Formats: sequence, C-alpha cells, structure tokens
Amino acid sequence: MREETNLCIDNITKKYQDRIVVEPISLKLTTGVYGLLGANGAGKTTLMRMICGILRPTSGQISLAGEPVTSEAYRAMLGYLSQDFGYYPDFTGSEFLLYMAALKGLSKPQAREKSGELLKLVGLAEQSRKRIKTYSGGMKQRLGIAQALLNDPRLLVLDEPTAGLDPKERVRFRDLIARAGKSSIVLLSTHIVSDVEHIADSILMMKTGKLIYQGKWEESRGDLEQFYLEQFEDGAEKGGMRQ
Amino acid sequence: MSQLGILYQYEMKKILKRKMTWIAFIGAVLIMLIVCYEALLNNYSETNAQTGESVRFSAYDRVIQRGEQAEKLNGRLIDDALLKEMQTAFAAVASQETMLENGSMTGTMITAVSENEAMEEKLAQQRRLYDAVYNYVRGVVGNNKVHTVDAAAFYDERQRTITAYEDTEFLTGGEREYWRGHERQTPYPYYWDQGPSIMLACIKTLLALLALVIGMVFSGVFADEHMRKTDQLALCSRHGRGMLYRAKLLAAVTLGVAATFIVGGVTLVSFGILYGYGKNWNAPLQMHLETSPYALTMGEAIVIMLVLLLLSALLHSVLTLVLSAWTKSSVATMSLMTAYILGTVLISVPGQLRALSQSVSLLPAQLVRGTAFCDMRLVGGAGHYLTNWQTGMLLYPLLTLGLALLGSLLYRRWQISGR
Repeated sequence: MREETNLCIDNITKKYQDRIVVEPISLKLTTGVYGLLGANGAGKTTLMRMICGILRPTSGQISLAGEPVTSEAYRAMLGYLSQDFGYYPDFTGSEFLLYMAALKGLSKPQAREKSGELLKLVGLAEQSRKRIKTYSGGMKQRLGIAQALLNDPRLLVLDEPTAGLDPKERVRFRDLIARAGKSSIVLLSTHIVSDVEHIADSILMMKTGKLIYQGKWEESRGDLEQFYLEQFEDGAEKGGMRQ
Repeated sequence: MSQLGILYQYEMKKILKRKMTWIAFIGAVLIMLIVCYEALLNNYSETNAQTGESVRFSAYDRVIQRGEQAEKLNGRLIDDALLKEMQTAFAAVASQETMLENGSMTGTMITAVSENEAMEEKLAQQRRLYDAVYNYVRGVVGNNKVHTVDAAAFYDERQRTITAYEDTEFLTGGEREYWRGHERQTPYPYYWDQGPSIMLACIKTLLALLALVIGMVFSGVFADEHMRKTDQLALCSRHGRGMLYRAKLLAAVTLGVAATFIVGGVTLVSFGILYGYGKNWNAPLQMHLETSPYALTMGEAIVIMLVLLLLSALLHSVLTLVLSAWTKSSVATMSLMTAYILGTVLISVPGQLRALSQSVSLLPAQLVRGTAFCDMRLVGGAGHYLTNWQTGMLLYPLLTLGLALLGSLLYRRWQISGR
C-alpha cells in the first residue's frame, strides 16, 4: 500500500485574451475516484489539461505530493487519457505501449512486463501484434486506458474515457477505474452521469468555467441525474460552490 | 539500452514508416541518376558532307573522346611552349576566323582548304589534342587573343579579371593584401578535369534537392504529433519534453546525414564511373574556375563542398524541425522550406550593400556551389581572415546548435490549445 498523495489546486484560472475559460478554482484531492461533470464547454477539458501540465494556467499553482506541475517528478506520477486519444496507425498495440512506457521512463524489461499485463487486463493480448489502424474505436480506447496505467500513476486523469465503448466494455472499464481508485487519485471527466454513478466517490460539477459543486456522491444519492440537472438550473443563480 | 536510445529507435521508426519518406528519398536518388547519366541518353548524329554518311554518337562519347586527347597534356604548365603548340595547331582556324572577320573568305577558299584531305586530317588531329587547352585559354583571353597570346599576357588577363572582381565586390585593402599572399601562384599546370568539374558544378543541385527532401520528410516530425493528438500524451509523460525532443532531433539528424551520404554518394560514384577522378583529382581548381584565386586542387574543392553539403543538411534538418514545432503544420513547414530554398537560390544583393550581400552569400544555397570559390570577400579583420567556406564550416554548426536550442525552448513551452 503506497502513501496517500494529495493533488493541490490553488486558485487556478485560465483566460484567453478577454475570455475567462476557467474561473478561480481551489481544490485538494486525495486518493479516490472523482467524477467531473459538466456540459460541453463548461471548462472540464481545460481544467484537466492544466492539471496534466499541457496547458499553462493564467494564474495559480498545481502540485502533486509537493511536486509542481511543471516538474518531471510530477509527470512521472501522472497517467492521462485525453478526450481525443491519438495513436500511431502503423504501430502495433504492443509497440505503442512499449513506446509510451519508454516515454514514461520504464526500463525495457519493466515495459515488456507491464505492457503484457495491461494488454491482458484490457482484453487486447490477442490483438497486440496487429497494427492500430486495424483496431475498432473501442479497442483503441482500451489501448488508451492501458497506456495511462503503464506507470502505476498516482494521479490518473481520464477525459471522456467511455466515449466509443460498448456496454460490455464500459462495465470492464468501470472495474478498471474502481481498482485504480483504491491507490490513486482518479479524476474522471464525463457528461454521462451513469458512469459517475457507478464509479465515483466524489463529484465535481462545472458550469461556464466555474466549479459549482463539490461533494460526496452519497449526498446526491437518489437521483444523480435529477441533481445534475438541478445544478444547471439553479447552481449558477445561487452563486458560489456548494459543498 | 538507455531511454534515449529506445525513444530514438521509435522516432526513426515513425519517420521511416511514412510513405513520404521513401517517395522523397527514392525520388531524389532517381533525379540525381538522371542528372548523372543524362549524357548517355542524349544522342547526336553527324553527317559527313562528302560521303553523306550519318554517324550517331552520345554526348558522353564525345566527352570521352575529347578527354582521351586532352589528358595527354595533363601536368603540362600553361606556359609559352604549350600556348605556342596550341596556336600552331589552330593556325588554320585562326586564318579562317581572320578572313571571316574581314569578310574576305570565299567559297573557293573553303573548297581549297578541304581538298587536301590528308592534310586536313592531320590538322584535325592536332586540333583535337589541343582543343581543351584552346577552349580554356579562349575562356580567359577571348576569341581575339587566343591565337596570339603568350603566357605573361594570359596570366595578366586573368589577373585583370580578378582585380575587376575585387573592385565590384568592394574588397578592403586588408582583403586584397590577404589574397596577394594566398592566391594561386602562376604558372599553373593544365589538366583535363571533366569528372571533378562536373561534380563541383552539380553541388548546388544536390543542395537544393536535399533541402527539399529534408523539408518534405521532417515537416511532420512535430506537426503530425499535433495533428494526431499524440502530443498531449507525450507532453504529460516523464520524458515527453526534454528527452523526446532530443530523440526526435537525433533521428532527424541521422536521417538527414544518411540522405546526404546516399544521394551525394550516388552522384559522386556515378560521375566517378563515367569520367573518373583519379587523373585529375589534383588538378588546380582554376581548371574549373579560371578566375578563382583559391590555391586549391579540384579534389580539395570537392571535399570542402561535400563537407559544407553535410553541414547544410544538418542545419536544414534542424530548421525543418523548428518550423514543424512552431507552425504545428506539415504543409506550412514544407511551404516555408520550399520558399526558403527558392528564395535563397534566386536572391541577389548588389555588392555595394557589402554586409548584406556577404551575409546572403554565406547562406547554404549561395555558398554550397562551385562558383562560391570565385567570391573573394573575407570574414574578419586586423590581418586575421576566414574565407567564406571556412566561415561556413564554423557558422553552420553554430546555427544548427542555436536552432536546436530555440526548438527546445519552443517545444518545452508547447501548449495544447485551440483544437
């Protein structure tokens, strides 16, 4: 069991010229699965990109276990699956994972062992020698999840990870996330409420760049979908963040 | 193997798996093969006026025949003795030219000259032997003086042209003094120089072709990652910034050097097979460029140009990567590289604007060409000077390093936005 890790987000904002995309957000996340909900354009992806260090906040600080987001040590603890997961069509599934493992700093033997293990876990062991261009959308998504898990990340950021998965794959994916959430911080962005319902311990809700709700899933148990819609009808008017 | 080594292997694989890479490399090799072997493909026919027989021969055959004769004079100093022999062999031509100039030659006279076939054949043989020397001397002194010039007048005429260059290039007193101490001493020997000469003339084609190939092949190194959206995965991984950049750089540089060796090697070997270098590798550079002051042999000049070609390939490889990282578009990168090559090949700045003109002359497309050995402008001062090619040898690696650092800064600050 590894020691608990904290993700500290301190007053971060993102502006593009005069347009504010993310208003000041401060959060402290510990081990567990967090569902980030919000409509399209709410600022979820921008927030996640800032947490992954691929988009610089206009102001504020982000750190993981005391390491700033700009450091190599931060990136070494991070696993990320982006919304539009990119891949190399001429690489095989296995080659892709070995390449990503090298980027994540795994030695060759470690990379072989870990990629073999993950390919089995996501059900791609038999297709691992086929080129990615022959994979279906669901297979590519599973490969994306496998690459995010290669370095046993302490912070796993998943942006719309269930897009393109069929119901069976979605169930398998939820199990994977739930397992990862026992020892890592998992931040899961989606607008599919049922995904969050089944996996998340806590919920974060965004609307037009503001974090309008942060709380435990139990608080909203009953009808999360109804609760989600309520936040969008009332949250902004009430102002501030509910906790 | 280190992490860098593993990433390097994958980056090589990515580039080599692109169809564009193979199309560009194979295309460049084929173009150079056509350039090299074109002389074999061009056929001419000559009809004997008296017998009416038509004889077909290739441009290559003609060059080889000329070379076989001309090489008999290899190593002979261009002095009064050689000039006299040449002028004797061409005496008949001289009288014909004089008569043509005076407008006094008639059909009867031409018939009279051609009647004595045995005599004509003997004269023709003599002329073939001295034909290359004749053309060389005529290139320096012109049609009017070629039949009468002596060695002193020949070298004086050459020196006058060099001095005229010094004036048009606005050389300083220090530069003129430098050249008086470093220029080719006279008299120098004559050599038939077809192989090295054609190789030296081909360098500028090689440079432009390689720069275009490099622009095409490496334009996607960073831009494709952005287009495929794999950049976001790389940039948030441990080695996705510093080490990945170095791996991409190394892969591009390796393939840029490999392309230069392959395309340059094919050209060098092809001309070697066709014309040979052995007999005239040590010929003075002045066999190719009569008015060049450089005291270099043809072989030395070729080696210098090939080294500059290699350094330019490195520079262009890194430049393409930086453009790819900056524009995040392979089409934009290719367009910029094409515009850069065409622009720098065609640009011409008047000599009066000395600093600008000389800076432009140091660009690869201007410097990596045989005729760059005619440029007498120097870099430096106070008695310490570097010639343009020496400057290029120092400047190109420094520029490459500077661009690599600039690209690194650009890549480290890479932001995922605006998709």
